[in-house]
This record gives sequence, C-alpha cells and structure tokens, in this order.
Amino acid sequence: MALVNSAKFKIGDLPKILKHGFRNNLMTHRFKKETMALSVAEYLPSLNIAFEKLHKYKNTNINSFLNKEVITPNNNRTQFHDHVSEAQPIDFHIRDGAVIQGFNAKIKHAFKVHDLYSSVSTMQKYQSFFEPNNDISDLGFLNTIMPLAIKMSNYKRENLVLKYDVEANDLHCDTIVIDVGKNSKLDLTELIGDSGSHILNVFYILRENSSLTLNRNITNSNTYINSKVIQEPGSRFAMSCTTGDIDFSYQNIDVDSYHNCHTYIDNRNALTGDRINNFVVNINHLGRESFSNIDSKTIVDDNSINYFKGNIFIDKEAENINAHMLNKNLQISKKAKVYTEPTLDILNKEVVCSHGCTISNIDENELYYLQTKGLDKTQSINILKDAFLK
Amino acid sequence: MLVTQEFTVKAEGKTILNDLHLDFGPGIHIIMGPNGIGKSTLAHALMGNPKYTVSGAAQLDGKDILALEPHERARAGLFVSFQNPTPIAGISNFQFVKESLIQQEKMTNSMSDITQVLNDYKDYSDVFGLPSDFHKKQLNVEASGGEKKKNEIIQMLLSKPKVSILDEPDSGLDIDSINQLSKQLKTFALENDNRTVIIITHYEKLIDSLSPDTVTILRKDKVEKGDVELAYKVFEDGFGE
Repeated sequence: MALVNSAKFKIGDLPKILKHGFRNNLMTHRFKKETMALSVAEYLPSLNIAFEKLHKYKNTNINSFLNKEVITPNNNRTQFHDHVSEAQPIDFHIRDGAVIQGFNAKIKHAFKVHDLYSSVSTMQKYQSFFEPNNDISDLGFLNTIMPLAIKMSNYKRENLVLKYDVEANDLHCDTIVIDVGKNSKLDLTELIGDSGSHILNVFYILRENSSLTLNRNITNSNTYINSKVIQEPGSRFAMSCTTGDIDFSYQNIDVDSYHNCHTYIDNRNALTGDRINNFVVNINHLGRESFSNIDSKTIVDDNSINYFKGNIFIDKEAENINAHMLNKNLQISKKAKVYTEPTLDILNKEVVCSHGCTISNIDENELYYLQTKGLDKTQSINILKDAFLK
Repeated sequence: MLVTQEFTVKAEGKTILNDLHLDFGPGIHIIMGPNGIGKSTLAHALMGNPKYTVSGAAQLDGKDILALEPHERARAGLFVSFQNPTPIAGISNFQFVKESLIQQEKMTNSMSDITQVLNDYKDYSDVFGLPSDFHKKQLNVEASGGEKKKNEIIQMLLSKPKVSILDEPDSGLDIDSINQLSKQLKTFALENDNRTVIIITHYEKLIDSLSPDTVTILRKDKVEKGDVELAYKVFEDGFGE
C-alpha cells in the first residue's frame, strides 16, 4: 500500500492515521481526480469505529487481524511485470487500484478493465459500489479512489486467473467489481497470498442467465475479504473456497439471489498451528424458484480456530425456494476451537429448507477399520481427514 | 499358522473369552457357537481392537502378535473381514484397496501395478455380480449388506493374507452369491499350501460346500473341536445350552 514511504503500523490503527490526512496526498494530487475522490476522502477519515467491539466480530478473534503489524515499503516496490516465472499463468495482477496483465497471460478480448488509469467517466460507472459498510471492509476503499472493474461482455465463455498482489508484510487494500455479462460463462480463479495482508471488497455481478464459477484459494496471508454477489434472474454462482497456511482469514460472502437462480458455496479448510479462519455466508433469496446450497467443512488441529456463521434469508415473495446449509467440523486436537452458528430466516411457507452442523472427532471405529487393513495410525488419520474434506 | 494359548479377552472389566487354546493350520476352518459367546470378539481381539484387554499368547506363523498394533498384524499376514464393515465417506473402494496393498508392500504406486490391481478388482466385482462402477463407490457407503461383504472378500482375495478370519461372510448374500463365495474361498485356500481361512458361520449350505478341515465350537466353558461331522451334529441337536 503506497500511502507513505516505509511506514510501520497496526492495521487496527489505520482509521486514526487517516484522521490526520495521511491519505489525502495520494487521492488529490497524484491522480488529479479530486471530484471523485471527495466522497471517499470525506468518509474514510471519519471512521471512528472500534472494530473489535462490533457484535459481528464476536468469536472471530478479529484482534488477531487488527493487531497485525504491516510495513509499507518505500517506492522501490516490486513491479507487476517482475513476476515472470509464474507456475500458474496469471491473467491479471491486481494491486492498489490497478490491473496489470500477467506475463504469460493470453489476451482476453472478452474483458474490459476499468482501473485508476481509466478515464473518470468510465470509472464512474461503478462508483456506486463505494458504499460504506461501517466495518473493517471499508478500509478496502483506501488505496484507490474508485472500484476497479473487470467487465465481461455478453454471450462469452472464458476463464480467468486473478492474483491479488502484495509485498511481504505489506497491506493491500482494494475494491473490485467483476461484472459477468448476460448469458456469459466465466470460470474465475482468485489467488490470494504473498505473505502480506489484504483487505478486499469484491463485488460479483452476475447478469441475466450468466454463470460464474469462482475458485478462491487463500494461502500464507492475513486476509479480510468482503464479497458481495448480485445474481440477476437465471444466473448460476458456484464458489469453491480453500485456505491453506493462513495466519488469519475472515471471509464474508453475501449473496442476493433473484428469480430462478442457483447458488453453490463450498468451503474447505485444514487448519493447523495457530491459524484462525472465519467464514460468514449469507444467502438472501429475494426472488422465486431458486436453489442454494452451502457446504462448509473444516478440520481444526493444534491450536487453530474455526468460526462459521451462515444465514439463509427467504423473503416474503420468494416462494418455491430450495435452500440447504451444512457446516461440518472435524476436531483433531482438544486445544483447537470451533464456533458454528447456522441460522434460517424464512418469511414464507413455500420453501424446502434445511440446515445442520456437526463437530466431531476422529471416529475410533473408522480408524480401527483402516488399521486392520494395514494402514498405520498416522496414515489412517490422514485418509480420514482427506475423506472428510471431500 | 494361528495358535492361541491361555487366550483371555476382557472388555469393560467383563471376561468375554477365557483361556482359549486354539490351533489353526493351513486349510479351511469353521468356527461356530451360540449367539454372544464371543466369536466376533475372538476375531477382533486377535486383530488388536483397542477396546479389548487381552492376555495369554497368540502366534501367527510362530510370531507373537499380541504386542503388535492392528496395522502391524495386518502387515504380518492377518486379515479380518467385518460382520458390519465400517462405512467411510470420501474414499472409494479401489482407492482404499490400493492404499492398503501399498502399505502392506503387496503392490507399488506404479501405473502398471495400479492398472493390474484395478483390473483384478473389476474382475472380482464382476464375479460377485457387483455393479461395474463399484470400484468408484465410496467405501461401504450406500452399499447393501451383501455388497459390503463381497467387498471385504475382494479385499482378502487381493491382499492374499496368510490367515483370514471371516466373520459371517454369508450374511446378506443371496444363494448364487454364496455359491460364488464358496467357490472363491476354496480356490483361495487351496491354491497355496500356507493359507489358513477361518470362517465364522452357521450356514449349513456354506459349510457343506466348503468341506472344511476342522470345525470348532465355542461354548461357554469349553471349546470343542472336530471335523465337519461336528457341524452336522450341531445342526441336528443345537448347541445344547
């Protein structure tokens, strides 16, 4: 985050820093977009919220994130084009309001990119997404004056690999809009890691009859992601999320599903050490004849902590909804902690809805069965862990 | 091949089997006994189920196995088929067999070995009338009782253990499947002079068709051993308890 040269601070102290005009230089002079920046410039320094006291963060160990010390390097930062040896070809690198094509990427004609180098009029199309949530996600507006957007044309089929870049120990803040055109199909992979911290607001707009398959892979990072999904009628959203080697992760996924939509959210985690994972998902059925399924499974070992909160809301007019939610946890270590809060909020009777949660240990009968066939205890436990996550 | 001496098994402080002296050589052997006498307990105590406290001695091929973990007993050549095989979602029947055989060093992870074992698995599935995609199905999940039993037998046929203890392998099988089971067990036991197959069953037709070498009756205070005529006597007179 290029706020100042070589600064060191805790993430939780950012609002205080902003009060002192820390941010204004970047927004008004460097980019000369004073008009657009105004609302953000006014809003962000006014943030005066004790994040750790917000009810929504109860049991999330959010202090672990807020107390994380980040170091913004001087201006000699690694440039995007320095990432030349990518094991997985990356189409777009995203950092600090800019989108840069990956070194090995193929040209993707189906997409238009709107970032801080675009014209003001182009970027204003997505300015409405800069609405404050009055929580940590608002810090995701920090590093740019407007959302960057990747817009996919109508009637296209594409796949795309995005990487959210950050220097080690640095903080990356961004607000991103992924706009999938009508009747288009997008397979999107998001890579989040790099030993840094991220605060992201990501909006996914699924236009009529479009399909978005999202694979989000979070590794080796300290991450807060707020995801808002807007599903227009006839659209399909399938999200598969995995975390590995994270310090801290908080994901909030909020889906507005309109008429005749399909929504699938799978979450798989294997937590070890002192890792903390939070997964909050809300599916809001606002239209009729839709289907949704939340399937979240986590293994907690050592001193790790997993928090799951899921809510299915079905509006008064949203009849013939089929909605399901399952949260399963496998607790390997007695010191590990699991919190799970599945809730349903249903305002009409024409629905099929289910929810369930379990917290279990390794089943002794299963363990014995595997051992009788020649697998030692460690191998058997590993097989049971792998099997659990499938 | 399998010998026990003063073999005593307790669970939760209660003695289930007391001072058993058993001796099973190569060939086919039947174990019978009234309900609750401890036939399944015997199988799983020998396999090393941690819920049992065992004293005495048990030897497999002259090697004491009581100090071994269950997986070490399996690797030493002991196989137990379960009366109610444990379902484990998330791993397929073939994946499991493959892992089991690799750990027992009965196959490698090479493509040629995997292909060979997969073909063998499919052949046995076919012989037992299992669905053609049975190898892909989750281990003992969404399978009938009979299908689970057949899967256990296939595991045994592929791993070729020195000593197999099969706990009521016939239950849940239809007549044709029992005929096939008998045929496979006889072939398996006879194709190698050093194989011991011990079957816990009360099914007369199966015992008849297997022509077992010995029949052992577990009773409350004693063990009776004889040839197949002993089984016929039980069918006629009952266990007499």
